[in-house]
Amino acid sequence: MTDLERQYEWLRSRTIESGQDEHGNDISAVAANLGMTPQERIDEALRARAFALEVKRAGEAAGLRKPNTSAR
Amino acid sequence: MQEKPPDLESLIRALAESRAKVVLIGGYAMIAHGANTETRDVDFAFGRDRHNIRAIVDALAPFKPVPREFPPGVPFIWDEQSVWNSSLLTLQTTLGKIDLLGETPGISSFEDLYADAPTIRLYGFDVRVASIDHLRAMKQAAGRDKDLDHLKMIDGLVGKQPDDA
Repeated sequence: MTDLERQYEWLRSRTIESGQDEHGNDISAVAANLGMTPQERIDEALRARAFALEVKRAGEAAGLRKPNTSAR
Repeated sequence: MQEKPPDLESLIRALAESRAKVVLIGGYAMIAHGANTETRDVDFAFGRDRHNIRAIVDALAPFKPVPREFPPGVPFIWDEQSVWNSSLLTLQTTLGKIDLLGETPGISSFEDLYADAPTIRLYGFDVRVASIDHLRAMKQAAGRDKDLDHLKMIDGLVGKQPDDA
């Protein structure tokens, strides 16, 4: 068994429901990340950031987001 | 020169062109409503009728979806049956992580979720986003640690005070 397979099995053992652990952490995402190269992870993060900015802009344009609203 | 990887605009375009009936939920829906949160996976609720499942399968097929729970190297066939058989699909795709929910805890039906979902214009396409009330209901029903944090954010967005009923 390779290190990757061992890590994957350990993560699977932590999963209780829908790919998540008891705290709601997405273990399936962590497991999927193990199979990605650093560059692939960076690309995914950049895509997610760009999408978040576009969703934020679209939400504001649609009037869903109030200006200067703090989420905290 | 390295080819630029496809971005999530491709996903939104594919879903629109296949006429898939989906509602954006989860972290990105919260961002649309103004929350300052971070997420990596794109969550969609979808109607579980055969026609819609066909549309979703067609839309996502170019992005080579594989369940994240699958051990590396295990073959997986992305087809209507694989979507029909699961109410929750957590997928790794060439675009990133995409989750499809055929059932949304806390919401009476997908039709209710869809009917109340406001529309945003994303990359030139209309996209339904779960209403803030439905997002709250889903977070309450899920009840995990991170959902409780998100509930506080939602309360902040709607200006609700902790003592409010």
